Amino acid sequence: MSEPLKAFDRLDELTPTDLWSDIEHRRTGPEPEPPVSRSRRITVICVAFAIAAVAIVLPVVAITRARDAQDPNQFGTTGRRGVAESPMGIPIALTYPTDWFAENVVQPASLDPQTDAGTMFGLIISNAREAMPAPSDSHGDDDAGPLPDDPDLPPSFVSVTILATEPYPGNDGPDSSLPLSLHDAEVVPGDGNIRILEAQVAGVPFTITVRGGPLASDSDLALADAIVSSIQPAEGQNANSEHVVVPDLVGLPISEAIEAATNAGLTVETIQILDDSKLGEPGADDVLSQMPFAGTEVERGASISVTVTAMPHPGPSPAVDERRVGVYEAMIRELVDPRADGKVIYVNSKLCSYLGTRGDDLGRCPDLIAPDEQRVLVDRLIDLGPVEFVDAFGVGRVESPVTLLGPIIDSPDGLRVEGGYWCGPLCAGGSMYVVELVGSGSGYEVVGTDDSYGSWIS
Amino acid sequence: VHKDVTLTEPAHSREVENLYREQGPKLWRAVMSFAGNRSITDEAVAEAFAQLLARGDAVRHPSAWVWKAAFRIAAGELQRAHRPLPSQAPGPHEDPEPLPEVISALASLPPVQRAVVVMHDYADRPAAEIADTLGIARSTVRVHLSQARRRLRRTLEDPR
Repeated sequence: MSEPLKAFDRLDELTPTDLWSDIEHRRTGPEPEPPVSRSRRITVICVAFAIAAVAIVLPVVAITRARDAQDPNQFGTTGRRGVAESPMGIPIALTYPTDWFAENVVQPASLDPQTDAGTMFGLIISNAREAMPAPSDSHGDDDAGPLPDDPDLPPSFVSVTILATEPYPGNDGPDSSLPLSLHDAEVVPGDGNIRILEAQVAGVPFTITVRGGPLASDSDLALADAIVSSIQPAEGQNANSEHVVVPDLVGLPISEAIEAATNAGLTVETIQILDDSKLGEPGADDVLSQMPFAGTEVERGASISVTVTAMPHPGPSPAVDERRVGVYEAMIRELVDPRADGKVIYVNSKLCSYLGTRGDDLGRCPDLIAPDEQRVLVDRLIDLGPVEFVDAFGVGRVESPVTLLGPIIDSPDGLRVEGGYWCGPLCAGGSMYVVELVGSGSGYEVVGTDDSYGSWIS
Repeated sequence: VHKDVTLTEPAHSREVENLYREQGPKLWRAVMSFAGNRSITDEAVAEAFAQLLARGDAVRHPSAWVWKAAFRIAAGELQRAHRPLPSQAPGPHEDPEPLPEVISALASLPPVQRAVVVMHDYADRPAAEIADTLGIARSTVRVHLSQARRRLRRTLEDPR
């Protein structure tokens, strides 16, 4: 860890208010009851547990079994529901395991979405041990005691929505420790499931059902281990309404824009190309403008006109062609800092797919692993050698080669890696950890780890 | 070093007062750094200690509890009041003394990062306690801490 900021020393110049008299004055509630003897307390607790076992556990088991029988796709104890409202005002219900906790979170209007994206809209889910107790909940935590009965417990503290397991190799966006959101949520294919974006643009309420992943019982993974098992329009709703809201396509690569429009029930009919000689330049295929504007309500099936600088391929055909490969490869190479030492040792296919094609199924990765004599050309992925650290679960130490993928910038301390991804042995199993590395030269330090990846349970 | 003691009646009130005298100023400054507002800070710290007093020996780890309670109360107050951050709207009536530059810089951080970096780097609270306070995993605390430090350095080096 780096040293604490020296600027914090100046905080000691602040003069605290002497609050003790106020604290004593506030003590107006009933005096705490005299302590009960230990043996009596144990007896009372045992009796209470016995009664609870009969009165609560048996009905819960019965209900759970009945529910599982109805929907085998759901987690065994799924049943609680939380409701939130999307930024577009669409009600979203979340169904989640009974031993998890959810709390509505709404992006405060006073926050800047550019800098406060960590406090995203959404439903926060975690298991009970990690979660804040609900205001009306009494968890009987005799360790910390119930929290102050504040009906407005601070949702901003728990700031990220974790609903998905879609890989997210780039963390260059707004700061967020667990960079997943509703928009990234993937859903296990199933009858009646719809995409979140589709539901949102259609303006229909929908229900998201999540289940626990294989390690959901581990408290340390609480926020990173939910799997979306279904996303469906709320009962009585139909995503196929006559009118849809035009999504915001500006800034999206054309392939994503077409996908977004298609998902919204629209088509991209006219693509105006300003300067095709710019092909290959970063952002050349990003949508510069659109008509109609985002937020406009149009009939389903209507067409949208967009403008791009250059068009990477003649059409939205999923077929692979060398020109597209070249564009995507250029995008990846754009990220390469030739000053860094190291060699390309490995290109993860998911990473490559996401970075190179932004989710578009290219069919194969561009061949970035150069022959030995040319490896210096592509130094984006750097072999840092074996690194030992306590893994994200805190249950063991892992020693494995580290593959670094992160922007390398000049800083007063020299070259500095601002973030990176470690692809250890679990890569082969379709799972990855996000590891943040800070340092320079050979002095990289692992400062944070998160299991932001997962794998579908089939 | 944070040493938690088990409080027993009837010395409870005195122990809480001792705790207040020992950790109150640090807690107050930490909450102030997080909330950027003196009245919210006063309210959060006073209420947290008052509730600690009222709970008697039900709280096994008073130090950790009071830190958690104070930060959550402060965050709840901020949320309820939708108060602007200090860098955006300084409150001359509420903060008669000039605020250190770092508080303005902290205001540019998301609340979670602000809380993490203040509790860890200023108040020296253990990561496990911070994780418990914020309801996040310890590994997430480390990530937030790293991001917060990076952004703070940037802001302090290049104040705009």
